[in-house]
Amino acid sequence: MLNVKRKRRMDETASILTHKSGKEKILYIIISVLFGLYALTIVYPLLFMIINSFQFYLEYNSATNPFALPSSWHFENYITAISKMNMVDSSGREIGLVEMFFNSIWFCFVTIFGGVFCSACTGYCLSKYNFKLRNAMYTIAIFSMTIPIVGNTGAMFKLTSDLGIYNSPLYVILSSLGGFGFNFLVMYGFFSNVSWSYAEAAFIDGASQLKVFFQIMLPQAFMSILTLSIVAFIRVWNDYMTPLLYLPDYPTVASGLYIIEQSFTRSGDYPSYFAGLVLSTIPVIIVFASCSDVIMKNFSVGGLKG
Amino acid sequence: MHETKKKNAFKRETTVTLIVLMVLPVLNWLVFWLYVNVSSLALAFQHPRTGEFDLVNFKLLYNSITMKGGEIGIALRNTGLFFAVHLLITLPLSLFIAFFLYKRVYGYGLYRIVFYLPAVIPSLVMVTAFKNFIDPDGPLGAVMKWFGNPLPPEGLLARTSSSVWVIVVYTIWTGFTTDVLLFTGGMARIPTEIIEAAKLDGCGPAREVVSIVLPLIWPTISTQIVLLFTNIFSAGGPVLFLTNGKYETSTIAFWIFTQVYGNGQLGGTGSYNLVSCAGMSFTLISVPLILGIRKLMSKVDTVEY
Repeated sequence: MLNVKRKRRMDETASILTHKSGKEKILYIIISVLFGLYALTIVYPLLFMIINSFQFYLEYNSATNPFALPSSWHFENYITAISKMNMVDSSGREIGLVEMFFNSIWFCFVTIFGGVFCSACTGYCLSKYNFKLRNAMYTIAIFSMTIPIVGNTGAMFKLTSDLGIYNSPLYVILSSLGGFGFNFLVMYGFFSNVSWSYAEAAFIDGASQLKVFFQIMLPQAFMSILTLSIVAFIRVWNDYMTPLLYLPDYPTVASGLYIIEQSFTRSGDYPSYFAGLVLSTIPVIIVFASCSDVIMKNFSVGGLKG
Repeated sequence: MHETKKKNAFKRETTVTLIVLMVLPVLNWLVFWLYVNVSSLALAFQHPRTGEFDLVNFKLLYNSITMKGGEIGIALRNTGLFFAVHLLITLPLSLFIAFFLYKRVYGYGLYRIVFYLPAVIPSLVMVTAFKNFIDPDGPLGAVMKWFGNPLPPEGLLARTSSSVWVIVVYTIWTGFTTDVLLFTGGMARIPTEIIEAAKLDGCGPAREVVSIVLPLIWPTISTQIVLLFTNIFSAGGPVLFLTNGKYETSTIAFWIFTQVYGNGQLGGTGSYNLVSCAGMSFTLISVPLILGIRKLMSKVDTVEY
C-alpha cells in the first residue's frame, strides 16, 4: 500500500517536473544534446584507453591514426600487467600489481573500519551522553573542521618518523582511528534523531550500555554507515598521496601504477600499463555501479543526511 | 538505599562505556591533530639547521613570494587561479547542470551517473586518458591537424604559456561531480506543491529559477561557497600526474607535497620548517577570510520549508 502511494507521489512529482511547453521542449533538446556531448567527453577517453589496452605495444607506439581500432586484440596485455609489470621498493624487492591490489584492499578496509567506527562511537557518545567534556569536544570537532590548518604535512611526516610508524602498516591503523571529522557530523546528526527510549527499554531488560550501543544503536545507523563507507572506499582507493608519502614500500594501485609509469620511456609497453589502469578502476566502478543509488539519495545539504 | 546503589552502578558503567568508546578517537585527535599542529607551529619558528627559534623561515617565505619567478609566488598565483575558476565557472555551471537534471532533461538518469564518474575513477586513469587525448599524436592532435592548425610537437602540457590553462580545463572538465550531486539533492527536496502553485500562477522557467529554485537551495549553495573558501589553499588539480609541477604549474598544495616527498626518496626530504611556516602564514590569512565569508553568507535570508 505504502509503495503504491509512494509510486503515485513520484509519478506526480515527475509529471510536474517533466511537463514542458513547446518552446521549452526545444530548449531541453538542445540542453540534452550539450549534456550528451559532455558525457561523451568523459566516456570517450576512457574507451580510448580500454581499446588501446588491447593493442600490441609496437603498433600503439607507431600508430598514426589515433581513432584506429587494434589490428589484432591482445588480451595477453592483461596477463603482462598482472605478472610482469612491477616497481622496486627501497630494499630492491619487486612489487607487482597483485601485491598493489592486496595493499589497496587492506588499506581501504582498515581506513574505512577505523574511521567510520570511531566516528560512530564519538557521534553516539556526544549526542546521547551528558558528560563534563561534551561541549568542549563538540566545539573542538566543529573548530577543527571550520579552520583547516594548511601545511602541517611536514610536522605529520616528522611525527610518523619519530613514532617509528613511517613506512609501516601501523601508520594506516593508527591514523585511521579519527572520530572528529566529517563522518562525526553525520553520525552525530543521525544519533541525535534516534529515540533514547529504545535504550531505556533495553536497560530495564538488563542490557549493558555497551550492548545497547552495539546491538541496538549501531544496527539502526546501518544506512548512514554504509553511505559513509562507500564514499570512504572511493576516496581511499583513489588516494595516491598518502601511500606515496607515508608508505613507500606498501604501494597501492593508485600510487604504484604512478611509480611504474615514471620508469617508462616513450617506447614503453603502454598498452599493458593501460591494462593495469583498467584493472585498477574495476573495483571502484563495481562499488559505484552497485551503490550509486545509496550515494545519490543520501547526499543532502553540506554533506550526507544524518 | 538500593536505588542509590543502582544509580551509582549505572554512573560507573556510563564512565566505563564512555572511556571504551572514546579512548581511541580522543587519543588519535590528541596525537594526529593537536600535537601535529602545535609541532607545526614550533617548526615554523625553528631554524632548519640549528633548530634555534628565529624568523629565518618567514624571511625565506617572503623572498620566495616576492621574488620574480619564485616557486611559492607561482604556486600562490596558480592556487588563486584554480580557486577563482571553481568559484566563478565550475560552481555556476554545476548549478546549471543540476537544474536541468532536476527538471528531468532527456537522458537525465544516465547523465547524473556519467557526470559523477570523474569522482569515482582514479585520478591517474582520468589523467592518462586526458593526456593521451590531448597528445599531438592523439585524437585532439588529429582533429587539429585536420583543421590545419596542428598542436605544437612538444604538446600543450609542456609549454609554459599553455600548461596551466590545460590543467584549468582539466579541473573544469572533472569538477562538476560533488557540486552537481549536492545541488541536485537540494533541488529534489523542493516541495512539488510550490512548483505546481507557481506554474498555475503562470510562472515561466526563468522566474522559476530566480524566484523559487535558487532561494530554496541557497543553504546548499552558501555551504559550498564557504567550503570553497575554507579549502582555498588546497585549490588545484592533479599537478603531480599532469606536469609534476614543471612549466610554472605548481600550486600551494603541490608545493607542500613536493617539499616533503621530494623525488620519493625513503624518509622524505626533511625540509619541514619552510612548509610549516608557509602553512601557518596561509592559515592566518584564511581564518579572517573564512569568518568574513561565513558572516556574509549568513546575511542572506534563507527560506524555511
